[in-house]
Amino acid sequence: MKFLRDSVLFPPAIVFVAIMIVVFSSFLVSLDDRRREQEIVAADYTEIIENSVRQRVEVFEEALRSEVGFVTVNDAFSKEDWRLSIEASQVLDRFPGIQGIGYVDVVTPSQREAYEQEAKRTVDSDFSIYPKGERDVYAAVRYLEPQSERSNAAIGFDMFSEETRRAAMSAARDNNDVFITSPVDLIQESGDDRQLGLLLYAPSYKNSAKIDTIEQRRDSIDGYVYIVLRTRDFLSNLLSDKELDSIGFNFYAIDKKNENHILYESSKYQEHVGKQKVKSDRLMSIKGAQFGITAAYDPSTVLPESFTARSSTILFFGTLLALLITGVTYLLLRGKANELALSQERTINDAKDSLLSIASHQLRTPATGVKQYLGMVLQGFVGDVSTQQKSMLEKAYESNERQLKTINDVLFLARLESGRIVLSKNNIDVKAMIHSIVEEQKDNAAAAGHTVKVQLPEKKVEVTMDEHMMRMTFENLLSNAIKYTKNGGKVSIAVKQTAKDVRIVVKDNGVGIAVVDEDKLFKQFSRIKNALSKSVSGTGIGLYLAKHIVDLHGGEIELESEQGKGSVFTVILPR
Amino acid sequence: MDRKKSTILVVEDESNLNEAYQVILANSGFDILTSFDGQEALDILADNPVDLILLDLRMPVMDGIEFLKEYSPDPKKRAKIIVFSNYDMQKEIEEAYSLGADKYILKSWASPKELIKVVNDVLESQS
Repeated sequence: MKFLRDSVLFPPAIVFVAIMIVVFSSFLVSLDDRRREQEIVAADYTEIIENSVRQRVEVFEEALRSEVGFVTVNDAFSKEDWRLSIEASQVLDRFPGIQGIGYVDVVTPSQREAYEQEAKRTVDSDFSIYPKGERDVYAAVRYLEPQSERSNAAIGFDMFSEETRRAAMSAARDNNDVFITSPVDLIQESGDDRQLGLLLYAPSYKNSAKIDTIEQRRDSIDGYVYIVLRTRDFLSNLLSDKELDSIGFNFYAIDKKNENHILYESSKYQEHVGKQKVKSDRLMSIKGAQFGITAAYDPSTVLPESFTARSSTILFFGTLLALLITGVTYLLLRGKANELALSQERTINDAKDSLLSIASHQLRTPATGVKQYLGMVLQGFVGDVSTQQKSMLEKAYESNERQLKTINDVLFLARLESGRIVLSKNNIDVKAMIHSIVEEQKDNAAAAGHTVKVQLPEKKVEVTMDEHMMRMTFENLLSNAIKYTKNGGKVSIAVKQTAKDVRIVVKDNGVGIAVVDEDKLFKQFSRIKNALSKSVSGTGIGLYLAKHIVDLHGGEIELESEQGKGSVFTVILPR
Repeated sequence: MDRKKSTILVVEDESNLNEAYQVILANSGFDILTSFDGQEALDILADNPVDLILLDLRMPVMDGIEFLKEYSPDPKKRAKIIVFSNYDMQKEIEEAYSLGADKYILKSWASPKELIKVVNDVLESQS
């Protein structure tokens, strides 16, 4: 039964562990989810940046193409024509990233001399194609708006002379498309605020030339329209100030040698990267150029609080739920186990009852037969018996009586111990009860030559008790006092009432009890050795039963005794 | 009622005890009818007026409690009943009384003289 009750802990423990495994996995998954979502957020930013860049480049392409259109329809156009055209397009005002928009003429070595002369007249008196030297072909900057001292420095520069520019220009020419260079040092830049620049080229072919094949395009290339981008300016304002507070990004170009060149770094980029929080990289390819974007941010500043708290919420409520379910499981199981234990206890007790009932019947019936037949002979139902016969029959009858009493005591005890006897308590007049017990045992006491003294208070003494059981107790104590006192002794029984309790004191001047035996005295079936134990019959049940009954009444039995002098048993019952 | 002519029905399956009761009661001048179980007792009662039934509880065929449940004569002709048993469980005692027993005696308690005294007491009592 105990095992069953303990084992009730086992299933809830399993339930708890199982739920916690689920909760903890969910917690880990949610952490992972969170990480992923954070990365998605970072990736979203890089995508936003890429899209913005593409949009801006598209606009530049439009601007370039419209200028190409202008160049194509006008066989010859002056510096002023170019200025007006640019001004009309408002491209410089709309995008602060554009540092300039210019036109490049393609010049062959044979044309160079004449071209320079013509440009000196129409463009600038100092015009010359530089750097100096003989090359296969020249691509000289002819116009560059807006005009300034700085931009004027670029006029005459042979862009084909520089590898990076030439690569983008060649690609633009061959593909009839806009191409962007790798980062370059701008010719017009000087001083501390030097920035890397990007150039966007759009090819312009000879009017009405066929440009279906690369060869045709190469043959008919006439010039280029190009945009100069100051990358820092071009890349600023892609995100709002507020966004730039919570997220940092940089934008870099990857050159043909696969080297990275940082073009832009948002103000708090280093701070965000330093936090080592969430980082996302994106590569983009646009108009022949390769770029990369790295976004870094602290998720707590970007993601809503509830999102950040989700994992710990799962852990907290998951654990709470696990505890709750475990608790409920435990309570349900314990209820069931108790029910089962009770029903098993009931079954066992019922079986015990039934066994006791049958045993009592089977043990008593034969002894009863002996009693009736001996009784009939003894009591003269079948004629007179001689004195000697009568004496023997009386001994047989007494032996049988003792057997019956033993059977009754043992059965009563068994039932008492199995807890199947319920006290049937009433208010009992203790004086009357003691008086009647003394009356019953008067003859026995007289036979032993004892004087029996009874001391009862004048007032009525009532105690709530099971009359039958307490009577057995007092009968036992008194008959013991009579039995264990040598003939001609003194036995007394007194009832005393105090404010708290009622005391029944049974006293004799008999054999007494040794101190060492006092512990054994109230134990089941223990008979102690004394001067009379061999000649006195007993089952060893009496005092054990008496103590048990007094215990059931919430009282106690006290013993004072001295070997050879006598014993005093005091039953103390609460009022 | 003439005490000497009272008729007592003994219901007891244990033949030694059955015989002992017959001897003890006949010796005291009662007319005795005897049976060994409840069903036999009911059969006898159907044809014979009886003043008192000495009833055992644990018997084959029909036990004492069953008998008490079945025994339902005209109230005026109802015999007194002494349950004479070796069962001393509270449950049986209460059940026997509630089913109409006049007295419940533990067999092992009564000597032949005490048995006669109880029988006379019950016969003389006004029900």
